[in-house]
Amino acid sequence: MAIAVPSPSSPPQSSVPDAWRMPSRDDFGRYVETTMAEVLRDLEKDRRKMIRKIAITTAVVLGLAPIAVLIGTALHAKPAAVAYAAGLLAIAAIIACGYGFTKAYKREFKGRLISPLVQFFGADFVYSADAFVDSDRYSASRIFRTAFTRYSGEDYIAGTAGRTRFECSEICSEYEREYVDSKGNKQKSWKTIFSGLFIVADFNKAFSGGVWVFPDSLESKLGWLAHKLQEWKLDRPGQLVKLEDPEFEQLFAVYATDQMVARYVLSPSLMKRITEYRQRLSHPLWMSFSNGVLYVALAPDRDLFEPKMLSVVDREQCMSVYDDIAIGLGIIEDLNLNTRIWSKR
Amino acid sequence: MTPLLVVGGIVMLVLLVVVIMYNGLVAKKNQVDNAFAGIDATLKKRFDLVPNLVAVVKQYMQHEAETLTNIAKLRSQAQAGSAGSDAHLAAENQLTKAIGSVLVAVESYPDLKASTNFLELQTSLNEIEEQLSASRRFFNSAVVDLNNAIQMFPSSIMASMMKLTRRELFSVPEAERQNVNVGNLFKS
Repeated sequence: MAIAVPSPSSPPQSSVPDAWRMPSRDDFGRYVETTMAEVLRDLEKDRRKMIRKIAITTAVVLGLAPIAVLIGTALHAKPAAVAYAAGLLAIAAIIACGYGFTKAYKREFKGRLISPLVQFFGADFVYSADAFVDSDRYSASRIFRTAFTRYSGEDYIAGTAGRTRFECSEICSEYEREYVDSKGNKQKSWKTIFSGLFIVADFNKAFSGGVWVFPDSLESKLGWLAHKLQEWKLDRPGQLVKLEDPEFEQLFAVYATDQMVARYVLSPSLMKRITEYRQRLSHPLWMSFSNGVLYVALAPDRDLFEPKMLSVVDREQCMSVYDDIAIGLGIIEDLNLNTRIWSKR
Repeated sequence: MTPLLVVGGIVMLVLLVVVIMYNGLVAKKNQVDNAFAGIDATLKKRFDLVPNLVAVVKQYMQHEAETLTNIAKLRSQAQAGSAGSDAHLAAENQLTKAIGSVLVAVESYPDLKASTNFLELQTSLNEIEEQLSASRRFFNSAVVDLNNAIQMFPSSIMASMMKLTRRELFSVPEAERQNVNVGNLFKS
């Protein structure tokens, strides 16, 4: 088993207990009320301005369209074709302007609101609306085996929570698929491999090799037969590991490069914590522990950190930002990643 | 011709099943041995740390001289027993308990608790205990696999022909199963 044990003569390391705690929802709410009131007011003004701009643009375009049709008909023999073209142009103009206005508002919302809200969780935490977790990190996790041809993302958060360095962002990996349609023509389409939140965090134990925790949909339906089928799954890395916790085994299928490393990483208490964490989520969860780094992929059913265009910018919108941040950062506390009693500091 | 083909097919199928069963049992038996070797390797790491622990601790813990002597004695006993023997495992279990009691007693020695050497040792011991726990769990999982194969039909027939017998699980010593009474631990 390739696990590092420090030699007792190695240089002394810091033993300062950095106890980072996830701020409570109530504390966060109080912070919003006391420090963000002005920002919320400004953003609400911006939001109303954006809606007004979209409404005016729509009214102007819809007002100009009949005039364009009249002029076009006078110059052209086919009124139907002119009306059709004018209608299409009007719709395209409304969509383009609407997109431009909402994009500008989103940038303002994320820059002015989410950045300070993220820093409430940790003074050195950084947020960037346009950045995302590097694709090398995504590939290093080896959670998703399909090779991607397009990789994008947004809403990047990074920092050090206690002793745990982490980064997370929304990412989307896709590959291009070629197929032949019913008329025999070659077509291309993009297929999504993964779209959701991707978290990279420093794991609290040093080891080499990998352990992968995949959602298990077979175990609850097929029981022991599921194990046999999972042993033959060729697209999974490493070998299947059967663990002792039945509740954990019902939810996940575990693969690892080494049986002993799998049990070193997935201690009974960590399995319990992962089970509880998964039970609180309403969406699938993938994990990879690779060479001392933890990778987590979550597929929430909504786009995180996005403003609600038709709702007032108030405390409630901030609380929904708290929930989004908590999905990413909560894992540090939920999995007890700051406990550093083993060789890794 | 057709009946011959059918009989030949059945014989081939039976042979295939026998080969798969035989190889499966051998793999499971080897897995148990491999897992046991893992435990032994980790115990060896801990064994090597004991002299360091005694050396670091004895200058601070004058009142625990008896415990420290006992640890040194248990280490010698563990060294004397052949790997995997009952005496060897019993000595290792007692060593686990003795090291645990030293780590608890350290609470009464603030200077020792703050010593860098001791902190390093404690980290190494925690690491080794965690690895030991992983090795034992792997061993038990391998033993359960082997025991299932030995007891379940039809592999049980092959197992009895191979003279394979059930293996014992690595169990926690009786004393460690009881709830920890923290109050007693600090009585000295």
